[in-house]
Amino acid sequence: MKAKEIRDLIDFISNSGLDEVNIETEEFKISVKKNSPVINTVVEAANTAIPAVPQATEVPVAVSTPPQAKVETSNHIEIKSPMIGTFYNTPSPDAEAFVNIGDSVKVGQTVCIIEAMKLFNEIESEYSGKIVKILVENASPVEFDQPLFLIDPS
Amino acid sequence: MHKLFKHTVFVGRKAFFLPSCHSTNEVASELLSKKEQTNGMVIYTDYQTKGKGQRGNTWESDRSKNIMISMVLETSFVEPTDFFNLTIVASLAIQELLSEYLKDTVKIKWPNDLMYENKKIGGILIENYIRNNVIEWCIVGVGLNINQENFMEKRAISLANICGQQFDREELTGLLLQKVEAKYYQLKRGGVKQLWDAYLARLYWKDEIHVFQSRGQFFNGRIVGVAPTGKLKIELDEGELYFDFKELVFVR
Repeated sequence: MKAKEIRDLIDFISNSGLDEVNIETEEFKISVKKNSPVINTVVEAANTAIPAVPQATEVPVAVSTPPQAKVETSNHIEIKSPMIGTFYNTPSPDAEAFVNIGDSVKVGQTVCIIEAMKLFNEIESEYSGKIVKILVENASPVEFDQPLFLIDPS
Repeated sequence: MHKLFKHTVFVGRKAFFLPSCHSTNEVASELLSKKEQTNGMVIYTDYQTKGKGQRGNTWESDRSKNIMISMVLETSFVEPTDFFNLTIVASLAIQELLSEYLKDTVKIKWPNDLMYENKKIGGILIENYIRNNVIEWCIVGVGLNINQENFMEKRAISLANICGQQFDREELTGLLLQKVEAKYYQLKRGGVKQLWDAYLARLYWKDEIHVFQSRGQFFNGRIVGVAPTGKLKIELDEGELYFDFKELVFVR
């Protein structure tokens, strides 16, 4: 992995709302922790050959939800991504968002689309409540179990 | 095309024919939002004013020439992370349908285009409805080029182009429903491994060296498999890499 790619990866992780990310492939192992005084990255170059198309490897990402966020939002429920894919907050590129901050949602209401390998998944809310926070930018990649929305169920 | 499709257990037993509509997938999803869906319900049309391809793309088709159909399937036995099983079910059903007319010359271009040589004869658009961490409903939209002879798009081809004759669309549609139903049951009854094996055996460009493009770079590679996440596994000089649909172009 090149230095720039590592930097991009760290930027991506720090913008993702995740607290800790561990990625391990045959070529490298990287561990990024947020909210700690130092960012530790360990790169183990088992194989120095850089693939023609880096970053395309399928990397298992261990995701732990931020404990800090949980304290702040103890009354709020997270809607999480049921799969790896791309998050869309509109039904089509020129349409209005499914939900905005402050909107009330009902059980079964579509809150977003996760696109994966050309297949579109409409995600329905399991809860009723008010959207407090949208944690992911439109058209950005999401991991399995990544929190997408915060809902105030009261 | 108004007759009932009678050779299936549930797929197509409830069918809506619309002479024209914006998109059969849209009509299906509107019925779902009104909770008016039944397992196996189909919506088909002779003309789509706003046929849907991938997000933002359109699917074009002359009036009364082709097959445009959406099938609504109850799929709550499928977990969201296993979504690619549904891509496989739909792709294989259509590949088998076309194979009845074209033997085994039709390949599946990952993830779900139907190819005759280097031209596209059919496409699939799947939309799932996920709730409580299961795929409750799956809309399988299928566009198949049957009797259309001329295409604006150079890389499109129809069954009529290949065989030099016109086909009975109703008969083909009825057969399509049977194929989809058979694959659906195969998935539901635990035939995942057989479905994956059959899918991989029919994959376009599989085990051949071709040129691909990703993130602005061109490279030679060989398709060797598909990950459980649906990513395409390509073998390069440097080793095997997995590609997301958005980051890969099939060049030549």
